[in-house]
Amino acid sequence: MITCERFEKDFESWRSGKLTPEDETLIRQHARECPHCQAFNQAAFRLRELTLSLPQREPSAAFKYRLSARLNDLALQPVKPLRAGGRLLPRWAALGAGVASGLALGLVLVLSTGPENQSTPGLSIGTGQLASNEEMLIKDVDTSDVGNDSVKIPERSYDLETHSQVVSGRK
Amino acid sequence: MTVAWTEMTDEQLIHELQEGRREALDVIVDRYSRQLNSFIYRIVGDAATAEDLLQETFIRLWTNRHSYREIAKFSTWLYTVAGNLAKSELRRTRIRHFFSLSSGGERSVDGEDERTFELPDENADPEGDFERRNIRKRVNEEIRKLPVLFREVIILRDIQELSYEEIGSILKIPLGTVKSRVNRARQRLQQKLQDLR
Repeated sequence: MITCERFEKDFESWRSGKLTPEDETLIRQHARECPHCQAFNQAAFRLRELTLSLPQREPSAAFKYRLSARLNDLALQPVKPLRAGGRLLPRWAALGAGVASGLALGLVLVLSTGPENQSTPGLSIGTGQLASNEEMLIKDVDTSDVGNDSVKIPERSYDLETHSQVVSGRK
Repeated sequence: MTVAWTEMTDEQLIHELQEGRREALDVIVDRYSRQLNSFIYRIVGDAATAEDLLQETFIRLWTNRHSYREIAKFSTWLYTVAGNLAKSELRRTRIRHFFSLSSGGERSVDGEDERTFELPDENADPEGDFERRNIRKRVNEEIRKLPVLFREVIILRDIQELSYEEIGSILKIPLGTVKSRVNRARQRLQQKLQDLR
């Protein structure tokens, strides 16, 4: 025999099929014998029927087309370099800043170089690597081919053994 | 062994997505658009708005694909984004209605929405169908009237049939809170719908 409190506590587990066979037997027996819990069970069962009868809602037929168009628009937007503060720098300014930083860094190294300083790494950024002039330049991403309808997209599938793409011929 | 796109797991698809492959996104859209659209629609109550938010969900998936980490299920991530968008829209709607001089109230959710995309059944029973549609309309209306905190859990649990753990991850609330809200939401719905037995 179980109490009504135990019945309500275990009800959800019973409904989800997570009770042991012994506990399920006790719950079922109580549901048969207790008018209050019987009503509780019936109300819950009815509500479940009602909510499960609600259909899933498909998006409209045009949804995928609109999504695709929007993604294509995003792809066509030029990727611009960002710097701290989020404002854009012209490329010449970024190049100039890089050159100037490199020169300043070189000057610091020259001035501090001596036999006792040769092992000193100087500036370290993040991982301890000195940033080269090239690394400090922000490279634009070439998006000239994005959205080009003449670009052929081969059929691909996925090779689970090599974890790589397998391109099958589609002309 | 090669795997067709449609047979890939969610984790395989997200890996391909992170490699920049749009085919993976197409499969994800096919796999999840229906349930996400249902979820968003039942939160915001308007089909056109739901579809806009659904589109935004997938756009964000694409643009933020590199920030996904396999800490939680992929579907949890999608539901989280969709749910946040839906709730943000609700807040905006409430603010607009508050300041609107000619507020017509929120649009009602019903089973009679002209954008319901159910195929007609040639063997349908018209009277039975009419009754069923009325019942669904009532249920949708009562769900719609629930406070958002109860509405979202009842949708995720009793309509989308997600586990308590998943719901807790999506809504970022403890398991106990999920169970408590689900129970309270059900009690409210049972009271409102008791005449539909």
